[in-house]
Amino acid sequence: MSPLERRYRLLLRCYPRSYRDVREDELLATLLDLAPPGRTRPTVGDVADLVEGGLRTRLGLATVDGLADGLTRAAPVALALAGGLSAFLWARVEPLGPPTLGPVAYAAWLAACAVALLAPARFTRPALAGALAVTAVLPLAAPVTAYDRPPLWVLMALAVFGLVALAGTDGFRRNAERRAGPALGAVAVACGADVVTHLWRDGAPGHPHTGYYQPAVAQAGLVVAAAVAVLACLALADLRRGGSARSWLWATLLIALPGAWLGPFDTASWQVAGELPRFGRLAQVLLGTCLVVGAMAYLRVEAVRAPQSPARAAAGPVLAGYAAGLLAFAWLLDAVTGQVAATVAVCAGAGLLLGPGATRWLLTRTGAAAAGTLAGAYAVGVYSNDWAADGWVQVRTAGLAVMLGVVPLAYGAYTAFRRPRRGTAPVAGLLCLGWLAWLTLPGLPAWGPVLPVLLAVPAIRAALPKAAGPGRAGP
Amino acid sequence: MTVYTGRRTVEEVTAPLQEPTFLILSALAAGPMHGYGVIQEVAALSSGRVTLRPGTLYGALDRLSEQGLVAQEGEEVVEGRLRRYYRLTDPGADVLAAEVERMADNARAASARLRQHVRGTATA
Repeated sequence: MSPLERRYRLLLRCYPRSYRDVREDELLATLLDLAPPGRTRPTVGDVADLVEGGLRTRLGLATVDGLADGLTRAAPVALALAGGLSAFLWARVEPLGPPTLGPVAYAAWLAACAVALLAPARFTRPALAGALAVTAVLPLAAPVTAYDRPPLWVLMALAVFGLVALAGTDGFRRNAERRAGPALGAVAVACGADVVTHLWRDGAPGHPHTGYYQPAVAQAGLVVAAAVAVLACLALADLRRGGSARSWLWATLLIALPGAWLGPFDTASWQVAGELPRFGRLAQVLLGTCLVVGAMAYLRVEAVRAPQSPARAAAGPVLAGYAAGLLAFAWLLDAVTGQVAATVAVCAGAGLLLGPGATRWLLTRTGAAAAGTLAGAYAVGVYSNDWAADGWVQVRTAGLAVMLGVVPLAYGAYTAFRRPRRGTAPVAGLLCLGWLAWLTLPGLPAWGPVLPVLLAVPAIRAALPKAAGPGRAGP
Repeated sequence: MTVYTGRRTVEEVTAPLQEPTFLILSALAAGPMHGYGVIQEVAALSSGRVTLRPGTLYGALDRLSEQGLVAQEGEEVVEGRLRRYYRLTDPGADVLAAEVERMADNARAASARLRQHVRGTATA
């Protein structure tokens, strides 16, 4: 085997094994055919191409019905949102507090919009990748400069919008409409966010616009919610015409994923029980992610009718492991409150009802979930107590660790209802859903704006009369 | 447009086709080809403007196979290298024909306008 062939084979490991079993020799032959004589190392372009191809295959972009087209549809919207929100944050939010490093990332996203509009198409992806890199490096660079960073979850949302834009954009020639779309969209997003801010301030003097965090981010979230609503309407319109709407639904969910993090609303009116945390950023991010990822999983399974994934059998051990991890964390913190005890009981009960899955992996999975819970709860504790490793507010920190339960509970509910097994699975699903509702519904007035839009889509779809268009068989 | 294959109804194929997709389908219209052949043919069809990389090409071939627009057609081993051939299916040919028709209509309309423009500026 030549050195070049060996290196190509190493790179091809980016692809999943099942894919390599079928395609490795063929891809390798094409790569070797293309390489000029004497080459011993893959070029930078080869590396980028194969890493990206591997990732796309692992994400199922070629095989999940509608995902690739959905990504293409979502990309200009994502770039418009990244650019527009950058302009809004830079012009309206940044000046209100101490200066941060945010403008570096904002400038990079605005530059990417300008490149998409003005430069040859082959420069768009490098500009997007550059902006993405700047956004990712910002939190690491901030401690060594005199400036702070913008809130992490603002940067997270920008980064995911950027990822969607990068993944859905190719380097090929585009017409004027597709060039101008992101830039015009960015202007609309920035103006929309500004209008919302003004209306909000005038309408509710109790919520002054004080800088990052609430309510500025929820206000920006309203504009993202509008974009999600438009995409959802296009999906519903396509359904009405008798289409599958799958690519529009994927586009909606891809934009909704980072969009769902933009919240919560800072409602002064909702009740807080004692020292327990309110429906805050952690709950918003976890609930939003679970909702969107759950919908994506539903869409994906519905499309390809995949054989039952072994990962699904993991829900029981994951719930039990979370219960053990939470109990250990609260015990170490000396804050085993009633809420903690009830959550442990519900999760352990639902885990038992869902069953152990494959016995071989039972202990590994339960242990991994418990360790993950401890690590996650510790990280949340450090983050929410001003990056301090001790002197935590005990009950509040334990309450935040309870909020981490949104993830295993959502996973349990999805598993139970997605593949109803005979016997106790539906009971476990109801238990998970009930406790999820108990944890998150009291904060309903605070939910960020994208979540209600997402929940409205299936309701509107159910209320719509059946499509009058040409009949469509399957899938 | 919605494409129907024997296997199942396939999702909408977006029109206009993206340029690489259009070029891959055009390359295969001449007859079955292996991956390296498709890359060479696409470069020739686009006068060297579009150079597909293997990861991009096989991603596109997977998607087009899933949509029923291309299909595998045999394989051979040449000098120790595996070559798998792909062909354009009938639904693939329909999609390509529809796209060519659309582009031709656009081109005809644009040239008509352009002729008017040239005459208009000449007589002005």
